[in-house]
Amino acid sequence: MDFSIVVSEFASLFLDGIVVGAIYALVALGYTLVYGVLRLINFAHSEIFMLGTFACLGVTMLLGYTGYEEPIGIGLFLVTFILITVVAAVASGSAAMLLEVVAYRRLRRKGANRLSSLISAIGASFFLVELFRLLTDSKDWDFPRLLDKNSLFEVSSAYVTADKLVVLIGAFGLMFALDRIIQGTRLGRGIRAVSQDEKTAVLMGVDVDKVIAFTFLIGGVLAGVASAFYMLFYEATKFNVGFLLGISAFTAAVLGGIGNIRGALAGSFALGLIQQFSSAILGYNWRDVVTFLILVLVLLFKPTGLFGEAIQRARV
Amino acid sequence: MSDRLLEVRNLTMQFGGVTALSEVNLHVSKGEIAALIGPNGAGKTTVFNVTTGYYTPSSGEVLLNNESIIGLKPHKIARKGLARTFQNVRLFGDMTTLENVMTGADSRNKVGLIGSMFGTAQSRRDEESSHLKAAELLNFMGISHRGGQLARNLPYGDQRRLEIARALALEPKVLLLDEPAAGFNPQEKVELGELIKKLRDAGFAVLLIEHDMSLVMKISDRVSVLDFGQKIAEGTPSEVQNNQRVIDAYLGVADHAS
Repeated sequence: MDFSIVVSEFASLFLDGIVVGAIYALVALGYTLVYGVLRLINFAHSEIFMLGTFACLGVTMLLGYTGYEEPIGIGLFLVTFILITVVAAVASGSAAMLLEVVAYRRLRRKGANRLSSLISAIGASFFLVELFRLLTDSKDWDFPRLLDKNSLFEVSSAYVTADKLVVLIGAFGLMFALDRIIQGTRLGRGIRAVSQDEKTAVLMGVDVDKVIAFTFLIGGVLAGVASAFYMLFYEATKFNVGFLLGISAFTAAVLGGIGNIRGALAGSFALGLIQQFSSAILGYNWRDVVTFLILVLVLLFKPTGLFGEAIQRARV
Repeated sequence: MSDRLLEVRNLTMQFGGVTALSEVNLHVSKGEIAALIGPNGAGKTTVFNVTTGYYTPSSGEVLLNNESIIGLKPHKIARKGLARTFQNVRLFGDMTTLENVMTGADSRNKVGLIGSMFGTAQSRRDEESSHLKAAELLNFMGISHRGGQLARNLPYGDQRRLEIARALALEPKVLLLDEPAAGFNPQEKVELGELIKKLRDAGFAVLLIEHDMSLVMKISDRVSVLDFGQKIAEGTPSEVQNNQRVIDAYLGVADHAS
């Protein structure tokens, strides 16, 4: 173990932790929003993210990128990347809505208990993973480097690169927009009303089916955007890319308090930082061990997370 | 067309083998306060739950504004003009007082859920109109100073007032009040009675479940009595008070043979 690296590389680890945390946050919001309205962990959410990464890849292929080009200029990059992001958001958003209709809605209408929905979620997750294993030949797929990743400027030991800036600006912009929607629109009030008391919300004229469908849509769109940021940052995907990222985002949501939106953001940045610093000290191979350890510890000792409600309520 | 805004005809509700309501007939007209009374477990709240669409009745009809609402989804029934409050206050506790009322007001707006996300001119107008309407209703209920507080932090009396404000935000024709005076002191009960009369005079049809007999007898135009899921009496407050079956039901006389 080498603790000196924490000091010498502090700024660099901190920056990467925030960047990774921002990507987790966009995915964690999907878990926490859906948990809010359904009291259900949507375990297929990680596959909605995975599907987004392949949508990103599909766009670059259609545009003719092979991965051997020189990075493109900033103007062309922005146009291209916005297109990629929009396609991924649409693909993931519609997949999430479809998932709700296929895997959850009928069970909900029949008044099935949450365990049935949880099993349905896991089934949907396996289905999507195996489908994409077949469709993508179980291969690692590289994403072309679109952007020059040389350092733009340095802050202490941190090399600030364009891709990290894009992720940070994009993610924070989206979080702000989501906050505005949740706090200040009819849909946001509907989502909060259903989260707090579904039966009463209905009697106040809230169309719960629509609120739930649009909650899945928002979660899916955020996961789609996250997948574009992920591809820009990591430049590779595989059919099982959703698993570890999903666990990390889920852990972040539980750490912040599942069902709590601001908690999900706090949990995500905390987890991103913890992962970076622990990897630096223990070695990168320990990253997922640390993640799972945090998940178990939170569930054992602080199941309400930092701000939220006890995850145990989801088991009813 | 009758002026009966809410009419319940031959309503029967069975849960498994238990008959909660049997052939119940009720109606409330515009500008009328009707009360539904009866001992605990008589089926009063079940009437509300069937009327609001939460349960589908085993048989019978529910007409809102002369239109059958059986089988409609509860949120549609609410939007057609039926609003209720609850015996145990059921507010959105983690939303502000103002937001609670806005949630009720939202269903009157043009822009749908998805449209509200995009900040169009219409969605901003709707947001403003929900805000304005909610502020007016808080003012009407005398709790405008609570607007920014979380509903769960309100004192009990204000929570009950907020529930009525939220129900009014739906712009209902019929208002179902489930024990609105529960937990109120005598002074608050008087004020509540005045408020309900004010709502009646404004043209609402009010159906009231209430255990406080002095309040019921003072403000109701008509009283219906339920016992074991059956309507055993109906009439003006004084008629009902002198009805032997009603007296028996409340005193718990075992023999109903009268």
